[in-house]
Amino acid sequence: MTGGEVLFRTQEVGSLSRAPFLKGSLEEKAFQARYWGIRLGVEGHEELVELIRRGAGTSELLPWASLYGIRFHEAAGLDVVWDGEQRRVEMYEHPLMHVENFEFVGRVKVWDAETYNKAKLVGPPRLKSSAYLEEFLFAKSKATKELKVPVTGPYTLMDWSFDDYFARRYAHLEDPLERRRRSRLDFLYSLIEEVMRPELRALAEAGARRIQVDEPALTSKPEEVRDYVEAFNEMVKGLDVTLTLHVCYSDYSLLLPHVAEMRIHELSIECANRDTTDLGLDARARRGYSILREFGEHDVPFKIAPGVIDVHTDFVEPAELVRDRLLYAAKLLGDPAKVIACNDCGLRTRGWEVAFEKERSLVEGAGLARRASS
Amino acid sequence: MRVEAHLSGNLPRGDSVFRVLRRHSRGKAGWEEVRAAAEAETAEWVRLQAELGLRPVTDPMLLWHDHFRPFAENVKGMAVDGLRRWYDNNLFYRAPVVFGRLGLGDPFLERYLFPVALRGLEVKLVIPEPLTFARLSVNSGYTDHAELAMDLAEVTSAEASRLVSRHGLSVSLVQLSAPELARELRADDLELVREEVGLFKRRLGCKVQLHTFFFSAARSLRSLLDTGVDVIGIDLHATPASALKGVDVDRELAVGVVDSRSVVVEEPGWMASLAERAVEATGARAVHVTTNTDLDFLPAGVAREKVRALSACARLLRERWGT
Repeated sequence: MTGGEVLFRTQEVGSLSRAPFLKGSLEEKAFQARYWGIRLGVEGHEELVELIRRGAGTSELLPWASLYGIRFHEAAGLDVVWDGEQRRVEMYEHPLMHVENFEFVGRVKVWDAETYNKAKLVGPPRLKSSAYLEEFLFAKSKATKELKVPVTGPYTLMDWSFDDYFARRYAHLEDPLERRRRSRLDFLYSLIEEVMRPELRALAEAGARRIQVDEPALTSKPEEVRDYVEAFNEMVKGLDVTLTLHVCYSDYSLLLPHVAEMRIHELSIECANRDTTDLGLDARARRGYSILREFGEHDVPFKIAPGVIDVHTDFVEPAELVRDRLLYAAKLLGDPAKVIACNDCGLRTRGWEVAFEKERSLVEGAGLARRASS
Repeated sequence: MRVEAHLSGNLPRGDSVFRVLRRHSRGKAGWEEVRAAAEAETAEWVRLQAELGLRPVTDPMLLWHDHFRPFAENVKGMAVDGLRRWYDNNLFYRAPVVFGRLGLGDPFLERYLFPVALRGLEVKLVIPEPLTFARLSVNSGYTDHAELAMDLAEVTSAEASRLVSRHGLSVSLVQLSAPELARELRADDLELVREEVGLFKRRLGCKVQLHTFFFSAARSLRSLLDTGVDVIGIDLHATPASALKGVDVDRELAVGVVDSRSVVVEEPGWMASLAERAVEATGARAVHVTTNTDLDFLPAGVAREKVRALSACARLLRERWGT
């Protein structure tokens, strides 16, 4: 153990699906509000039931959704919690709605029938109002456990957007690759300076002690990882918070070696999705964690939170499977103190019943791993 | 100088197709409902191309979730697996899995396209290039990768040929979408590409275009000329025109002047100059102005503007060259 911290600390990654009382008929909503209120021990939940019966709109119910999200994680027994991003549309659209000069242009395909509402940048990005501060202040006033605030990272915001501003700055260059490289760097640094630093500073000043920067797009252009590491370090300069970088569904070997230079305290990655569900501490059963060997060889200076819960299946991982995944990760990294227990990604894709069982299993499995390591 | 203008891949779905596909994925809409919405949008895309003078016209391929899906779902010995990133994009395809010898059953492409919308028009078909297809597949069915690529050429060309003959399509050009040939072309790949080009020519009796994108074609262009291909397609948003200097393209050149991954609608004059520089650098015999890749990276409204700009670019070039 280091710094008196508990081994295999448990934490969530961010999102939950919408609180069950936000959808369905009035009766259904009231039933769900009472059912989950009792199950999670939410104070004053009868007040919510009354609100629903009076026909309250979504905006009135969102603070309650946020409270239920916090209690959800606390009741499951996690050490570090959040509100399940109950107030956010989704991770891309939510922050950009708070930034000047992004215009949403329409839906584009991501895969199969999945789409997202893509924005274009038409002028210099400027933060209009914080996308995160209000929800953090609310969570801070309610949470009984430590909080970690997830924020969408600048690289992902840039990579998932069209550029109708910086690209024009370099339109005169003949080499298309040089045009792209320069405009993307300007875009990234502009987001960092004008949007991300003010957001992160405001959160830190308001008392946030843990911030998670979500960058699912980070490895999509491997040649840009090195530039990103420099930009990230610039972004977090002077911030006195524990920083987690979350990257998922990616080829993590592309982060190396540059990621070792990042000023982060934790790296959260998805692994359970690539693993088998067999028990065991051998390389075959634990094939989803093989990348940790590379991180171990690079002796990265931060902790790693390998996902031990797959968020894309309703299968509830038994605590013993969670235990084995954590112990194997500790073996590859050479130190159990370097391992944090968490999910592959946000649990937005699962219903609350399954998500709750998964989180309880995470906590129980971490307890088993702790006992096996001590 | 002959100037042609056409599109080079999937076009974006509009709101009605997006909506019905979502409902279908949740079990709330039947496949017939999806087909009806896609048929209506297909007719609009075909009409737009014809009105703007684009020739040959393409089916917008609205029901192709990705380049490989109709084949991966229907060819014997293949299945679909999990999601993989489509090169450096925020777009994913399901990896085709090869688990046995490939073969054809019932015709299937007609379920993913709308041949009726193309009747009476000069048509371009877009098919995944077999070597690209093989490299991006998860292969446990073949020990020899080249043999897999040739069998993919066999089934894709045979299925394309069945589509054409069953529906009486007038196909003048088949595009083999080939990002891998620009990313990495090894010496021993060339014979394979030559064979696949020959196979498509024989089966379909039309010109074949090898269309590269996402990567600079500068390194592989010379080699690709040696494959018997009729039209070489290059992405001018990944290939500096200056890098083409000295490559004698003794045939037709398709230049991706519209950037399908950018929301900025290119000026027709700017695109025409770009095409001119590429032609000057290579001495190409004819030029096809086109999109660098699938327009379905864009919302449908923006894509339509780009198609109009492409048409205007072709007009300008014809005026400049007096053709």
